[in-house]
Amino acid sequence: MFGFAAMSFINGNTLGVENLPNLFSLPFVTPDTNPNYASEQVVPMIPALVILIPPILAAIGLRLVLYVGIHRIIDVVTSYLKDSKEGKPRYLNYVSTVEGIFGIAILWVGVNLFFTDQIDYNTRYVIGGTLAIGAALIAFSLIDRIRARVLTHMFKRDVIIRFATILLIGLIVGGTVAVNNSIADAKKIEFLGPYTAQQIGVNRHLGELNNVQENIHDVKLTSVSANNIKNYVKQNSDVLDVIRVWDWEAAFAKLKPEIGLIPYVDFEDNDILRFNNTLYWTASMKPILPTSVSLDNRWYNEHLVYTHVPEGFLTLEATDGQIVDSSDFFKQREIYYGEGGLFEQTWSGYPTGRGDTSAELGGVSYSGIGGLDVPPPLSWIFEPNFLLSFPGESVHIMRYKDVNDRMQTLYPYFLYDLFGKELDSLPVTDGENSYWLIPLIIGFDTRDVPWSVGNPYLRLVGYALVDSYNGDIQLLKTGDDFFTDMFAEQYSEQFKPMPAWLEEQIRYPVELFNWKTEMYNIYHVTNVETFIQANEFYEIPRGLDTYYVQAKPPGFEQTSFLGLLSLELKGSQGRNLAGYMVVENDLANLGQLQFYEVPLDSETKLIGPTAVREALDRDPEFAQLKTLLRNPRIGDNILYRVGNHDVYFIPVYTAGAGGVVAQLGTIAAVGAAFNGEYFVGLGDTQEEAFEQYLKKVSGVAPTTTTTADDGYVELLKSDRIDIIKSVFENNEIAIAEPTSIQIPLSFNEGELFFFTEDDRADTEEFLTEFIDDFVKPRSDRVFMWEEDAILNIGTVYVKDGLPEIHYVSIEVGN
Amino acid sequence: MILYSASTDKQTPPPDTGKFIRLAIIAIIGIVIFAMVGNQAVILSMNFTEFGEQFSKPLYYTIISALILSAISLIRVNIASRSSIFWYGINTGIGFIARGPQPSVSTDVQSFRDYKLTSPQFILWQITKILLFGAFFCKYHVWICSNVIYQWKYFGC
Repeated sequence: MFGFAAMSFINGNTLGVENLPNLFSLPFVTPDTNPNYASEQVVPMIPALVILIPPILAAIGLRLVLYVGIHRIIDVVTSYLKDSKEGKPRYLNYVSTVEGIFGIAILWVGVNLFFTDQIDYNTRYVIGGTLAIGAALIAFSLIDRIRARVLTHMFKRDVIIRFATILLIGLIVGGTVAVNNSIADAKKIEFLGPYTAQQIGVNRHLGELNNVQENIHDVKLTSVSANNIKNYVKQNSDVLDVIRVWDWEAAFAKLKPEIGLIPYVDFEDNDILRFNNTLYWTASMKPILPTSVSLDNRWYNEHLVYTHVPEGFLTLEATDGQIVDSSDFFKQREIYYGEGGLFEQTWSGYPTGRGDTSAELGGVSYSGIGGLDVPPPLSWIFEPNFLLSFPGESVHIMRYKDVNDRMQTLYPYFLYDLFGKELDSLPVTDGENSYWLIPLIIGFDTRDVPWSVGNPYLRLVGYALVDSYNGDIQLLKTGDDFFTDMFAEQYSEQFKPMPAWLEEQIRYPVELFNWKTEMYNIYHVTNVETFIQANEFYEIPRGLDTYYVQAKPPGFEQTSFLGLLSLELKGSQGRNLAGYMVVENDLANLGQLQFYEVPLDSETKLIGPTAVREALDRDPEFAQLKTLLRNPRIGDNILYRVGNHDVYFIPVYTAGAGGVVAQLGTIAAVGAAFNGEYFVGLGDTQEEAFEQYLKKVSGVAPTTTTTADDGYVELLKSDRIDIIKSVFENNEIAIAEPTSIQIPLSFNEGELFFFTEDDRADTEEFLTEFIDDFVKPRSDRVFMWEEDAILNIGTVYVKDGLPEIHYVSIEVGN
Repeated sequence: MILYSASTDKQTPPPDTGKFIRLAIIAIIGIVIFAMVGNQAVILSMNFTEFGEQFSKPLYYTIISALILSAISLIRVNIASRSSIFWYGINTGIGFIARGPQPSVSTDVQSFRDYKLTSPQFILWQITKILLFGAFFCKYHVWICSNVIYQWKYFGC
């Protein structure tokens, strides 16, 4: 990497080196509380500080250790031995040398203190003190060197002076630091605030957090009118139709039997992919040596037979759980370059003169361009077995068949393991060929970047497309940082334009999304006081991973392929959501992060995954169902925005994990908006579950009953009004509908609501009583008028010369 | 009566078995080294043939990196003193091994200041240092970065 940067530097790319002198003034300047100071001073020098400076500093440090430290110490020791032999040890000379060594070492430490990842109000004193001690020691060394021409021993007085000087400097610095810390304990904002602001500024740049779009998510629990529920479900079918019902464990249970009776293939990896706007679980395979292969036959099988995976991909639709023939998507399913198994353990090959006889699995003959022909005698040196088996024949050898190993060998600049885990590669296809899409992530240590506090510099440079049959590599550029520009310039011939077919399949690397979210958890706080108080940081709920789903959060006009990660308030006991982060995967907005923040003072909360599980477990209907399902497994609980509702959709499977059978028992729709009551809807499909949930919210279905109402019949508003009218018509009473009624005296004789068929009998009885008590035999006409969703029907008669109207009110809804 | 006289003894000396064993061991070691070096050379050659510039470019940058960093760390230009810790240590060590029991160390240890290589030796040693130790600098940056990324946990505040 240093060589790469050095060549770029030599070619004219300064990498911000011209800004480096500013670094030496940073500890001595108290910045204001505007993080722009760091953006102007520190950010321009970051390329030099991460790529050029650390190796140079290390090299200089090593040089000082070797040629100032070790050289001089050996010189002193051997001089002492020689001088002692002559009976004239010159102690003052030796002390002078030792003082010089320590002086230079401390000066070097002082210089390195400028290259620190944290600067505060004490840094200037520590640097000053260190440099002062180093300078003092060098001064003493020079003085003693001059005096050593005459003297051989140091006076006691001189020893005291030297120790006292160092002690004094140390005490002054230590005292100043202690006093500052004490004052800062009380005046934290004034003292630490400016530096905290710069820390925020630098880390927001490192995490690219200024590009995160922040939205206020106003959580409300709104009920949908009972009559409108079915419509509402239909209106949001675009979201409901693509709910990810099957999680990987259930998908794996269904896919496992698809391997069939094949002992030489095993699952390697799984990914959620998008084809034709539909999500699929895709499992990729790796070749393994069957356990029954004996040791004698091992070499033959692993090098010449099990060279590839014949059917490398299995796919299952993530919504309906149906296994889909992967040939619908992956026309090329023979994997010669893949992940894991024999790909990473060994090479494969075949004699070039094999003709029609092939030892490869299934009798296939590799016909691609991967690998190379190795003629004898090179083939003998590569593999001594060929000396005897193919002495006069070239052998075609295929190496670096694991795509990660391949990339590490040819493009070692990038990170292929992030935070202890191997980077995820995705299988993609252009309809003819199959490829591995490998993200190219560059990572730098920022220990020399002021105010970085050790957070790394990570960027997505682009992607590599590795052909799964031929192994050749194409590079695709998506980044726009300094390293991407450098790399694209040096490897311009390897970069290809982004192919159109990849636009739908591309996915932002989950590792980078998780890291940016972790950075956002802390550095979304830009107010210094709030940052120091540390009460508004977020955290990812324990055990939660990023879900890749098709969803339509607020602000999106249609469903989109997104990565979704919920966040809670760090340290909060309530475990409610502080919001959720999404990342877009459409190429036009690849990597665009949006955060939906729930205001801290929101009356309605958004419950987190832990609370959702509890809500589901406590639901009496689910409790009953659970006993019927015996030992069900609760699947992923993924938060979706359906219309104006935030709902968790939770699949419940009939069998535990690890089996070979997976069946969907039920789907639960649990409302995320919480104002004191949980609403849980269950159904065989996500639409049914959501409908049940809406009914509970609207109060149509009680929240605590365990039986579903099979006889439920919904009536339209017009139907209800017609039924009401028919009661009067059957009693030969005419209905007038005036535009307005103004009677001085009015009496409300009763109220009722009429929504469903179940309410009909009560309504008819109620109206019949009204007719008997107030209408007949006095009148054969009633008046009907509507106010909001309430129908009023009344009759007018005159009593004591005053007209009065007696009416009933029936709520019929919208 | 002379029973034995070396000058009159006409017996041929017994075959030096030890010499043959030493030769065989050296030959085996030589073959193993040849096989290993040869194998690595063939692999390197295959890499260049199969991957071309894709393989040679990172190697080129690695060499540049090693050259620059090892030059900063290791190369000395003070041809006047021409000292070398490494060769001084070798020289002193050989002296210790070769000497018989001596009363004191100081009689054998040459002053480091007085130990000097010849000018051609000095120049050759600077070049050799880069070739021998340059590889360390290639992986330094990768190791440091990977280690930091592996261990990263947020500790920002």
